[in-house]
Amino acid sequence: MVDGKKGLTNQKAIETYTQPKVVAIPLKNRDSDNFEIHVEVGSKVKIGTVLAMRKDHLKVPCFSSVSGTVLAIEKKDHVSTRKTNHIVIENDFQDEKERYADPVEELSTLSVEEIKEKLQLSGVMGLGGTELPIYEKYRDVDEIETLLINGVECEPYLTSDEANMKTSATLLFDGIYLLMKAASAKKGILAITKGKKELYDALKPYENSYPNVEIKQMDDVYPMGWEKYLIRRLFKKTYDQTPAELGILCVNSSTVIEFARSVRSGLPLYERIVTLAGEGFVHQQNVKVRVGTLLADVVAAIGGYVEEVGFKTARLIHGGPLMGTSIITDDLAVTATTNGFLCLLESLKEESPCSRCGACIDHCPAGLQPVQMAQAVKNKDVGMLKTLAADACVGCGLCSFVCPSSINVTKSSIRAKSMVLRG
Amino acid sequence: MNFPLKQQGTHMSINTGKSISRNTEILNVVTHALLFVAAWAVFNRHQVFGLAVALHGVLILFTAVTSAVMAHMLFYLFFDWVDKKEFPSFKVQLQSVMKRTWSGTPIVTALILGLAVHPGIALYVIGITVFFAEILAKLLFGGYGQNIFNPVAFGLVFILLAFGATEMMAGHLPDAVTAATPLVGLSQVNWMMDSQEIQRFMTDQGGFLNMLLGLVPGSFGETARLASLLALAYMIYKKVLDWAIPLFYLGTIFVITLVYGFSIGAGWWYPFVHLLTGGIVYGSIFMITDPVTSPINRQGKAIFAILLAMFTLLIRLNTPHPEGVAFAILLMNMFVPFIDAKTANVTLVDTHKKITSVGITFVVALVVVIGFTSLIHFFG
Repeated sequence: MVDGKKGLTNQKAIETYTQPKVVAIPLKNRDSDNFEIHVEVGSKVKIGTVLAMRKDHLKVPCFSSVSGTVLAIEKKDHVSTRKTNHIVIENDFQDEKERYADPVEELSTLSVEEIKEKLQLSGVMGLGGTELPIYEKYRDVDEIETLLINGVECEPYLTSDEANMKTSATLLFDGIYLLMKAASAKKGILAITKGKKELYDALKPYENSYPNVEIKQMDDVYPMGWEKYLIRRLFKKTYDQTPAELGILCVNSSTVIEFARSVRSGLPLYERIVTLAGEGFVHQQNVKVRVGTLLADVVAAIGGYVEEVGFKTARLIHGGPLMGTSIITDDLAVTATTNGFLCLLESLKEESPCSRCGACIDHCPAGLQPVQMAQAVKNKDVGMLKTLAADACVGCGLCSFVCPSSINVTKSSIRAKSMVLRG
Repeated sequence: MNFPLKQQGTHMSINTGKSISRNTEILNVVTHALLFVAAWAVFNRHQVFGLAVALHGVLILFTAVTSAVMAHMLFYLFFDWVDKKEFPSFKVQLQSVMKRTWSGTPIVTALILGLAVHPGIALYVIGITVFFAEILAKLLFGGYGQNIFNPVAFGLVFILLAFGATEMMAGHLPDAVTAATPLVGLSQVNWMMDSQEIQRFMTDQGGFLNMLLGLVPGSFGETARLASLLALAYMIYKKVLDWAIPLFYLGTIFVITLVYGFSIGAGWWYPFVHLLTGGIVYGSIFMITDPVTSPINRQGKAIFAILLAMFTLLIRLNTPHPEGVAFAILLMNMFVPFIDAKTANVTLVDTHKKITSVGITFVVALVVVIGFTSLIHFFG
């Protein structure tokens, strides 16, 4: 239904842009910007220095991604569209490193406790978009039977996870080994999308040396990457709150790779692959950048925008086109979870009256009735919204995409959800 | 660099590589399907009644379409004037009016209604009917998407109530056209027939195949049953139509009439007498599938179709009206908000409950039709 548009970037070599003049590290984790700052203006920092620590019920460290001097601590635009505190660091191009632990050569020497400790120290978090620290998922893993690695990446245009898996297949399986051991899981399943032949060929050889790990190829449909939908398709089972109810632990593939990389090097995540795609860029490709690099710098480095951008016809998106957010400036820092930026030229779509065709109902992966929810939102009928289970909406954007009348159904679905949650 | 703030969802920017919207695509497919049925119907009328009636059929469709477009334009022009809406020039206003007109799908409604009427109907009758159907059943509610009654069913009932049976016919056509249709004959005997009468009826009509092809007297386009079924297959293939409504409707009618047929000793062919006369097949494909006036999810659609079949048969078997489809549609249109409210839930859970609810509706429909009809016959 949704055209993947992966071909725009997934065949091209990964560009590197890892020496920015300045980086701005955002102090934000999920919806919290409650951070205790450990540095001040003028401090010398290295790659891996802890700059700040989230100080409410979760402890999430923020690391420096370059070595250099702190220039400022200031409010800047953030990819979440809210102004957020950033620590701006000037790069001295020395690449001095501060490790949180010694590099590990032989992974089998690590005990379960050591792996869990490294999960906490490395600050590795869900790179699929949740930003939830992985050690949170490892609080209670007694019941876990299966580790599910989600390498589906179903959002159109984005290929950064795919590129990461292709180039770091060894680290991926190292990570699967570590995470399976830490959860004492008996089985690992790596889910990727059908039709990505090169990726499958790169991963297939490892399946033999890791007998407990199985590669599953999933249908290329949106939103296969949604945990709940993926598990429903794989196991024919559904859960209420978390996959742990079914004995499954679900982790994004890039998270696994970055954790293994971090254990191997003793450094936290400071670099990542970001997809820059869409007709608005002169060159569309995957770029390896430091966390905190400004988008404008990256775009300039790969060739800038096409001419039409700037005539109010283009749109800049953080993330994929279905779940991503529309952003109004490219003076933004790449965060640890940024998987891509899209610059799309607007295609003309005019809203027309709803014909009640029910396409949104047929396509909703959560089994909801978006058009009925939209009606109930209009009537401010919270009781009806509860009957419709509006709080189960994940905002995947499919209802808007399939609507033949081009109505923005997702917008009212998300409002419906917040109305139910508020009561 | 700064980018403009956009309120719409980000998916709006995905370039799908299509020059027309999905809505236009759907309308095009439905219009093509209807034109195919129309061409078949015109050919049929030529075979049965001759060239004059065939040409008259073309004029009926032309009048219907013109009248529907005029109804929209005049309505919007009048209310622009009443609301004192200001436009920079008359040309801009006309553009705005035409845009609203096309979004109201006048051509599809007009074609469906034009094909459902008698082939010998006077042109002024179809013109007035389409005009009032568009205004009363569609525009007064706020246009396409807001109406609760099916405009086509409304138009058919309007013809029945507003014009006498003989005066609405065009005078210049051969008498054979205005002669009673097979449906009226069946209705006069309350659809009571034994297997021999069915055989005789079928032979009179030129056999099963003739009735399927539509080479029989009857409504203009409703007789082109095979063409309608082919159009249905095309529309399902193009994914512009949900198969649930036609399937449940035709299936329910088939099963109920089969049971009823055996109860009166009419045998295996009795369901086909119902399916191959009147507008059941045509209506199931082009009238009751109107998304605006039918329930929105599949469970609701199934219940809607089954109850619609129940009302169609109740009207056919127990009232002096030969045809039940249009009345049944208007009746069921009133149930739609209720059905929508009662089927408002998560579509993925409680599948058993949903199938059970559809099954119960089916049993109710079966019992009501057979029981009610038998009671009437017992006391009458």
